[in-house]
Amino acid sequence: MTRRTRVAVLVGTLLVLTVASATAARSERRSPKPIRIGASISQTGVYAGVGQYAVRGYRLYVDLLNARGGLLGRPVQLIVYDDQSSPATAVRLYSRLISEDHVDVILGPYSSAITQAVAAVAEKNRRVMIDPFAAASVVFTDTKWNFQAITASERYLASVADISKLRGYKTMALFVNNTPSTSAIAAALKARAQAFGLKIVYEQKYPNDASDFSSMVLAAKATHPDVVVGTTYVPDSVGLTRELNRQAVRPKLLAFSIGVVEPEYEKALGPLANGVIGNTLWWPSLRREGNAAFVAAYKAKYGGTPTYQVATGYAAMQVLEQAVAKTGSLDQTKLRDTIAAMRANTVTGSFRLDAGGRQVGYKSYLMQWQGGKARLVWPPKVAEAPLELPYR
Amino acid sequence: MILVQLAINGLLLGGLYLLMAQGLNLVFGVMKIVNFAHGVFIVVAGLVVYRLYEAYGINPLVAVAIVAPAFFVVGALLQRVLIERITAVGTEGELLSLMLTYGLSYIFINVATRVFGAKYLSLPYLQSSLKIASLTINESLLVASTLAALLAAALYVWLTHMPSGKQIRATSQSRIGAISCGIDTRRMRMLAFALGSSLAAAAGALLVVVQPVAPQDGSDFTVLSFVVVALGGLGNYAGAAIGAVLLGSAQSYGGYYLGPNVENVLPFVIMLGIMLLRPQGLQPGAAR
Repeated sequence: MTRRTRVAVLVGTLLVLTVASATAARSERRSPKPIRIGASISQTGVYAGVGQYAVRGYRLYVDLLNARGGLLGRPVQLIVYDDQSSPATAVRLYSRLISEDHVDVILGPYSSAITQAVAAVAEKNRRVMIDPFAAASVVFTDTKWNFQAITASERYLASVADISKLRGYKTMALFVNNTPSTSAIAAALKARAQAFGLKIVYEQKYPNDASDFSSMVLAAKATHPDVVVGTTYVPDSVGLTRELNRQAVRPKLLAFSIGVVEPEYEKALGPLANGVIGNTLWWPSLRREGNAAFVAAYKAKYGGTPTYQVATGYAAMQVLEQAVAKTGSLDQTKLRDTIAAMRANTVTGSFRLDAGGRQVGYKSYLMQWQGGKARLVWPPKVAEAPLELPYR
Repeated sequence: MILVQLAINGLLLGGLYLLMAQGLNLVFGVMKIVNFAHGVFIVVAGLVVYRLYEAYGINPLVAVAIVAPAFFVVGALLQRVLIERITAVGTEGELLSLMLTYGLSYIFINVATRVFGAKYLSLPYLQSSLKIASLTINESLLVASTLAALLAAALYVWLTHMPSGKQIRATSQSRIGAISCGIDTRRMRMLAFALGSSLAAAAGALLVVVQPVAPQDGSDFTVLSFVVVALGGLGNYAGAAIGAVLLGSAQSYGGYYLGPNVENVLPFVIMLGIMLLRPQGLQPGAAR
């Protein structure tokens, strides 16, 4: 290379760089700096199955929000990490979102257990966190910056006690998965059932990774319960349903909390799923603000019908958008005060908090598998089909 | 009657454990490595069987005839292309192979999560029970245990009476000795790993009928299989059967009398006890 060509290359390179940086600067000026929203959701590990849905609610809403012009006239950028279903990893990721990624707002992770760990990070950094996947109210003890955006666990299966009372059932057996939210579901149902005069004839806690239910069902069988309830996730709801069938335990009502509403439950059990009751926090047929548009947008982006986890994530973004619009800024203290006092209509119901940041507006519903189809059956006012009882 | 029922449940659970552990045991016996990807093979084969059922309505028992040969080929390739490349021998070689299969297990879990998703899947098949007097016999576990017994018998006959089986045992007893007798030990290692993978696949086909499975649980089944194999004395084929039944029975009785929390830690408590008191396994002085 001669000296002249070397100079030419150098000058050329410099020219290109100048033009490029000028263009970059111009394009930056044209579109304002995006608002960054950060969260971590389990996409691997034990919570991955539901976590995959949870994250879709956030993503779908951000897409729609940007199509409408974003938030405060700025586009919205969503940063989602995978916490591998580990509370410790989640804590690390939220610290990183706040101190390294400098996100403007954080949203809650999946599961009560992980939210409980992460809530402390939000509190310490004085950051607002809307938590759409922490149903256990215990998470919101002594929190000032965390807000429950999901039906509290205490409400999940409480209506099973009402139905049992109406039908004149006398005895109940409880299988309790030993996690914060499933334990809370069981405790609330137990208290309500006992208040209605039902007798708890069997109650057993078991670890989340249990897969053999034969010994527990054998012990429960001897108590001949009218009502059998499991506060479960997917694998144990399937395992318990099978084992009850194998040992010919035939209660008049069989209900589980989380698990039954998932399509995998029916796929795993086939006809055995029929008659089983599960709880849900959202349903496509409910008349809620923007519900039809939500279902249509989900179908367009992902295909099929959303699960309630998609809906609660989506609803959390509805709350955030309304709160930011009302506040007019992303100032965390102002935003916190707005959310604490506000009522918002969302696809999962009317968002309203008590003084401790716990959700009191959202409700729980019951669904039942009937002839291979999932039907909303409770409360009767919104039911798609009448409740089919007794079970078998 | 409860005691009899618990004994039946324990025996059947043991059958499932033996089914899961056999492949791991064979690989350990011959190659002296714990295949950390074993449990992932089980789960992935189970999920393939699920898909075959969902898409083509293929009966999971028929699907064993599809996944077992398929995983035989996968295992053979893995051994020839990756594991065989580790040239170190002795403790160093064993450690490197262990690390390799550990790494592979991570890769397989994440690939499987991409392909199958992370949801717990299971098949609506053999969901009932046989009823004899007041006793109930879990159909899916009965089939799993029967398959485990058949495979164990076939393995035993092969290892003790057939030339290639004897060569495998020779390789497991002494590499140098086997080589000096003209045995192609490289081929034997490939055969062992392929068969081990194939046995894992057979276990997976039954497991997806017994309980919901998801890719992220793969390592749990490696650990469970390892406990069974360690109970019997690593690489001891008859010992593994005893270990499996012992473990299943302990869980069945423990679950009933001491509760499900105890049931789930029992495998590890028992393993710790065995490792402290009888590190050679339950069966003393048994021929390998």
